[in-house]
Amino acid sequence: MREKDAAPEVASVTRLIDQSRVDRYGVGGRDHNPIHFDTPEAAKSQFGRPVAHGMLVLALVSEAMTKAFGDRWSEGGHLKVRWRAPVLTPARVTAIANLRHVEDGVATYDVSCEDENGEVLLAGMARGPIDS
Amino acid sequence: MAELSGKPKDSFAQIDRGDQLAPFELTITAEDVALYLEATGESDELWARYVPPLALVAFALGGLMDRVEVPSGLVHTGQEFDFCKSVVIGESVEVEIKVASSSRRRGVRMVVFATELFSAGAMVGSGRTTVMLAPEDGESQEAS
Repeated sequence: MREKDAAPEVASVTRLIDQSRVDRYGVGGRDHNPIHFDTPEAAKSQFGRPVAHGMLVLALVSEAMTKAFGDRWSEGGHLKVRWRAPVLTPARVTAIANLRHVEDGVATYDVSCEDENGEVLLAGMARGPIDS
Repeated sequence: MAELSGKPKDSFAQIDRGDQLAPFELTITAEDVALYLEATGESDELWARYVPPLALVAFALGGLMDRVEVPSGLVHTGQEFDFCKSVVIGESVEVEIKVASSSRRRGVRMVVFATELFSAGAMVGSGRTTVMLAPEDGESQEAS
């Protein structure tokens, strides 16, 4: 079997990110920055309203990689992303991973999160070890 | 280089390249994981025993924000992380965070925090977090 064939397909993950979820992430993700909530700070920010936590959006990528790699994601995974645009709630966000290449037993994917309008919210790469 | 005291909170404006937070410990409970998963919407049977790896990153950054007073306009612009070992729920993880770089250009402050996580002396993960703070209206736009 070619090494590339051993790389798992990473299924996309889609989730509604609404203010209720953002509020819950403030507790569950331990990020209480007021720009994420209905606060005066959010109202006077450059966005004029609350924005979702970047780590909440990135969680969709980690979820997709976990579904494909299982515990190998926690024990040899790598990710590197940059946020490109804020998520203004509510937004239906989809994490996508496309296989770029496989080398030395490691599969590298181009990853991104997009909203329902196709706007790229974050982009980067993720790697995971494949079965030898 | 300075070790940031953490108590009272250090100011984001004070920190500089090479500064290091006093190491702190995280012990993530099943309830912590449940709250995280309920918020993100993720579910996987792995998380009945292990801590989701991105939750570790989030909690480490939460610890950073508990110790450094960050301005509300701070924006998380980039994240890199290597996951080395699964962390079992209830396992103690030591978090070490230092300021890997700090720069200012046209009034925009960019800071990179380098994080290392250890359990029983073995590294379980490491990464870099990039944050940006834009100047407030009227603040100097000079490069520095």
